[in-house]
Formats: sequence, C-alpha cells, structure tokens
Amino acid sequence: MTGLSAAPEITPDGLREAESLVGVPLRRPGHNRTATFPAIARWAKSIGDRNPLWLDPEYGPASRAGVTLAPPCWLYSVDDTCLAVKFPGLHVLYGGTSWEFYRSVNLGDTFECEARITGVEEKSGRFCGPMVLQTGETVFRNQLGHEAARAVSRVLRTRREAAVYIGKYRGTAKSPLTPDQMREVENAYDGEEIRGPDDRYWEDTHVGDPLTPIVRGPLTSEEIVQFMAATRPSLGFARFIRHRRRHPSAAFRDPETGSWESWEASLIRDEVAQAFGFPFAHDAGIDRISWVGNLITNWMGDRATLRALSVNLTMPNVYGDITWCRARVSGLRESDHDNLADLEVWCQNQHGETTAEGSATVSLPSHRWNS
Amino acid sequence: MAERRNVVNFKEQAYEVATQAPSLTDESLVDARRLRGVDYRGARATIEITPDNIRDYCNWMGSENPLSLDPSYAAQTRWGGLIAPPCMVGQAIIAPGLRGIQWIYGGIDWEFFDVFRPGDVIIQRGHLEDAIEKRGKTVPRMVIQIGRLHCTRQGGTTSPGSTEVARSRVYHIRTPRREAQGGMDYRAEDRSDKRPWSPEQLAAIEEETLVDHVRGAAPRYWEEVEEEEVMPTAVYGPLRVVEISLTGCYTDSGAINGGGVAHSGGHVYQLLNRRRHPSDTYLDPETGVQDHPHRGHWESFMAHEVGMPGVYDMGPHRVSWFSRHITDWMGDNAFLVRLSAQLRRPNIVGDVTRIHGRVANKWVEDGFHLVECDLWAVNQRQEITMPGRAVVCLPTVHLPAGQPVIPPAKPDAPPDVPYDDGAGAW
Repeated sequence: MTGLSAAPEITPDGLREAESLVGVPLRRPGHNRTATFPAIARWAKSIGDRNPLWLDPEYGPASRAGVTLAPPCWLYSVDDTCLAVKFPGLHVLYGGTSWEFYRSVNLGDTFECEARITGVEEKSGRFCGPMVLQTGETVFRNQLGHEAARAVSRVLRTRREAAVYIGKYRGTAKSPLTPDQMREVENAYDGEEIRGPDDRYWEDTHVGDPLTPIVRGPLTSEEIVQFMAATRPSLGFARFIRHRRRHPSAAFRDPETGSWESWEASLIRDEVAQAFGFPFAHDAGIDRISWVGNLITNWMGDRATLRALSVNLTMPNVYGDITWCRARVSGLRESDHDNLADLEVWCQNQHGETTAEGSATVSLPSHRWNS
Repeated sequence: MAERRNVVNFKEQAYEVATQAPSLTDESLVDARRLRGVDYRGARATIEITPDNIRDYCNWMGSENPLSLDPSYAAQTRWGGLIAPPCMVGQAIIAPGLRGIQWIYGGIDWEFFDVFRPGDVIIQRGHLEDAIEKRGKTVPRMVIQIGRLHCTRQGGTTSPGSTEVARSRVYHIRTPRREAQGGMDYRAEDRSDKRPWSPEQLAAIEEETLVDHVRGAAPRYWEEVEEEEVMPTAVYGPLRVVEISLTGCYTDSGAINGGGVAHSGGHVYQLLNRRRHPSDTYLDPETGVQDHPHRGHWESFMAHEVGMPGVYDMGPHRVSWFSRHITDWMGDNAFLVRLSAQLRRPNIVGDVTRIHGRVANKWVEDGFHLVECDLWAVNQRQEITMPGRAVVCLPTVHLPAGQPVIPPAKPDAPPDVPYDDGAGAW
C-alpha cells in the first residue's frame, strides 16, 4: 500500500474530536522537576553551552545574578512542550515555540506545569498536503506558585504516506563535509564569545547590529543522544508498552524485528525518518530552538534577561548538517522600567538554507540605572 | 557512500591514521598497562543523587520499584525515604591506550557499603588496575583492561562525613575491529533465527514484561529462603534501538553517574575531548564527521565496523537488569552487598533476554544473614549472554524489623582471580 490513497483523511469529525480537547488539562510525562546542579549542567552542556553562569557553581553566586541560573530553554527538560492529541494515524512533528519568560530559573527551583491544547486547525503545505496544526500552551510555575514561563507550541500532525509520496526531500544526499568546513566549524567553536560580566548596555546597542553567530553541529547521533538524555528520555520496557497502548500514534512496527518501536527512532535511524518524508535522521527541533537561546544568552551578558523567544522550524536539520545560529537587532524600545532590544533570529545550514526563523526580546541594562 | 578518509583533521593536531582498524601486536599489552595506578580522568564523576536522576535510572533499567520512586511509600520503609538503585554509581569506561582498538564492556564486580539517597553527593575516582591478554572464540587475541573505582559520599544530608559507599572493578575487552587482522567478526546471518517476531510471540512477551516482581514491604526472611530456590524470571525485549540510545542514561552522559561525567555534552564538548584523545574518534564516511566509536550501539554501520552481528546493547544496561532483578526479589528490608556480571555474548536489537536466578548458598557471617544467588541472562537462542552472582543480606524472623542489614566494609584487596575466563566466549 503506497501513495496518497494510503494516507489517512483529515475529516471534520476528526477535527471536531480533537477540538473537544481544547482547554482540557493534559497529563504530561515531564522529566526534570527540580533545577538541581546536575540537571542544569547536563542540559546546558548537551546544547553545547559553555556559559559559567550555569556551569560553574562558584561563578553564579559571585555574578550579578547572585545565584547559579539555568539557561531559559532548560525548561524544555521540565516539559518538552510537544502537545499533540488525537489523530492516531498522523505523525507528530514539532513546529516551533513562542516562549515568554517571566522569571529566571534559579538553582533549586521546582516546577509544576499545566498544559492544554489551545487550537486545532487544518492546514496545507508542500510537505504532505493537508495536515493539522495543533497549538498548545504550557505554563511553568515555580515552588512559590509564580508563573516562570509560558510556552506556546506549534505541533504539526502530518500524513506520513502523503509526505513520502510527495517526496519534498527526495533526492537529498548526504555530502561529506570538506576539511575546510570542518576547520571553519572548529574556528567558530574556539571563537565563541560569552559576554558574561561585561554588561551590554541598551544605549550602546543599535538597530541593525548583528550578533556574533554561533555554530552548532555537525549534527551527530552522539549529540542527539546527549540532548535527549538530558531533556526527555524515552520510555523503556513496561513504561513504553503502557504508553504505546494509550498513544498508538507513538509507535510503529519495526519491519526488521517485527516489534513495536517508538517513532523517536527517527532521531537515530535514517530509514525511520524517511518513512514520514524526512531525508535522514534529524534533530529534535527543540534543541535547535535552544541553540538560538544560547546565541542570545552568549551575547546579552549576565545582567540582561531573555524575555521572549519565538522560533519556527522551517526545514529538517539532518545528520552531518552544520547549523549557524544568527541574529540581528531589529528594534529598541524603552518603558518605565525596561530597556528592550528586539532581535530577528534565524538558523542557516551549510547549504545556506534557513532551517529556523523567529524573533526574541531581551531586557538590557541601561546607563540610567547606574546614575 | 563516499570514499573513506583516514585523516583525523583536528585544528590543532592533524595526523594521518594508516587505518581505523589496527591489529593487536606484541607491544599492545605494554601500551594497555601504561596508565596503571594513575587517577583516570574518564572515571572521575561528581554524582549528586536527586529524585529526578533516580527516576531516569529506573526508567532506563525498567524498574518501577516504589522504594526508589514513591516518596510517601519510601517514607514508611526502614530507610525512611527514597533510596537510589545501588548500581547508579561505580560505572566508568577505563580503557586507556590502544588507539583504534575497540573497547567492549566486559563486566563488573561491585561491593556496596551503604545505601545512598537524594541529596547525597558521591565522588567517584578510578584507575587502571591491570591489563591481561586472552584468546577468544571469535578473536585470536584480545586485551582485558581492569579498572578500579571508589565511590565516596561527601557529607550527604543523612550522614555527614565522608564514607565509602561502593567499590567496583570494571572489565573492558579490547578487540581489533572487523577489518583488522584478528578482528572481531560476528556475522549478521548468525542472527536470522528470530526475525521478525510474530504478533502472537510479541503479545506474549508484552504480557510477561508487564508482570511486576517487586517484593516490596513484605520482608523476605533469611530463614524462608532455601538453597536451589528458583527466582522469578523477567523479560527484556525485543531490544529496541530507542531503548539503547534514547532512554537516557548511557555511561558518558546519563543517570549512571548522575550526568556527573565531565566530558559529556554537545558537539563542542566531544570535539574538545577528542582533541585530547584523538583515538576516541571514528570518521563517518557519509558525513565526514569525526564521531564517537561507541555509536555502534545505535548505528548499523558502526556496529558492523566493530565486528558485531548488529546494533548491540550497552553492557551497563544489561547489568542493570541484574541489579533490578535482585533488588526486586530481596524486598525493602534487605541490602545488596555484592553484585557481579560478565558479558559473554552480544545482545542485539531484536533479541529477547530473560533474566533467571537461583539461590546458591546461605550462611551467617558476623551476625549478618547472607544469601548468594546465581543470576544469568539467556537470549531466545538459549545462549547465556551474561552470567553473574549477587550476595544480599536479608532480615531474620528472630530479630526486630530494624536489625542492621548492612555488613561493614571489608578492606580493599586485590581480586582473587584477575578475570573470569568468560571473556574467552567473545
């Protein structure tokens, strides 16, 4: 059975059924509950972050923050925000997040999440024709009951058979990186600038200023395994069986062994990714968004805070791909108690293709608070 | 597939490697022993035990024991709160030298001296104790490296002061890769027997997996245990790639060692580590990227290069099933004193492993009531892939519930036998 005829229909009944869950609190698997030092450090390292504000237990307390912090996107390790309901025949593809951060994540903070679907919409695209966009909201509350962050997530429910039939990425080949590309990547890692204690003042920032790009990748299974271990480990053994029985869309029959396997295998095996129309094994998506977060925290320095980060994933990032995370200042705003810089952010692979794009807002220190 | 290149081209130290699959030579043993006694960086870890990483570890080994997972349940036990699965500490890869010679996890012997819990910080240090040469079934020559690990609690919340909580000896088998002369060479067709599993077989295995063997609060009294008594059997499989790679705890990053290993992390951390240890690299012919040679645990290409019949499990993962098996069996009131396991055959994706056990021996020593159990892992071809042994201290019917079950630590001594001849099965 191949081609479009095998693809499940997206019916009005199916849409209504999913819509009936809008606003209903969802049971979430979750991962980290507490921002302990190993949980912070392991996650930060898994995205290639080298900022001592989260990694050096002595640096944070002596810094302007006065405490060891977690990178804002560390909250993905509390809840990965991948909210998807119903449509057991459709694939779950993460599309992007719009984060609003209200409070820093401090060492020792404990979190509870509330997650609900906020919208179900039929869409159409070049990847698989008709698909469903599920928008969700995850609210992160800390031990004081304060809302620390809110994530609006976009999850695409795609038709695997249609995506394979259309073959948007068919013919994509892996091309080994050249020694020059490897050298360029190493230089960029070695040259990565972490602003740290050297305050970046709002007054010294100008519209159009580029941020020094950071590089991530080339994507390897090692990086994926490290990120998933730190963020949201897959379920094993009896837990997997029970999860699969509740969520049939989470697993497929592995033709090689005949047994059930999680679709997460597409993060590791090319042929699993190809079964839903991706070219090769790929990243988790939320890792790429977190790399963009890393670009910004590197740039902004210890005294600034990331207020908002919104990134849409526009193309798969596959094994061997290099990702350059880039941004430029797109606007400067001032209020009674805030000096804000708006940023335009995007990711580019080694072919010059944009694999993610979005925006961010940073609150920068101002000279007016120094007087 | 692109032509294979054998130039390791790190910015600061490009060098040519004649082959990514060298052979062992008469000088190899000298190289394998070179770092004996040296504090080994790769074994260092600071392991902060938290409810979160305990839960990760339990997920990884398939345990649902409430003594480690449910705080209100654990509060009612003799321990007064959550305790960590013992095998969360004392694991490391200690396999220095022998550039380009693959390491395979060969086994472990543990001794435990205390329980540990959330809030405890365990400092792990290790060194290479010795290396020996062996003949295997599929490899004419291999080197076994034996590492020693000490795990010490630094003023935990429950018992201040520094206490040794565990000691272990880890064994790593160094074998040339498939392409090398004398390389390991399991054939893929060796495994054709089981593929694919039928839906009926799978349904039966699933039901078997869902059976809970946790003894829990009902004490397993020493007097009630009989020699030759058979323990319940637990099943793990068919092994999935995701279970190996993405359940989160493999040695270099995971809840084994609580994520406390210094060199784990994203690509830049790998890069920095490989600049220091260029032999910890294997070029991916498809992407040209220098990647970790242990990725045969999830990539068929690399598994084949290593000489394995398919994508193979991680030794510590299989060993953790013994740990779960014995702690589920002994109940909340007992203590795991020693555990050992030797890996003798690969466990390949799609394989179904059953853990069996039998009481071998019981005795009383210095007032502690001990039981020794034989454990063994068997695959669907009835091959024993891992034999092992555990010693537990059980409560007795004659003494109050709070009687001590933790025997005092024995002095650190060299091993009775350098290594079980089981390595020859490879």
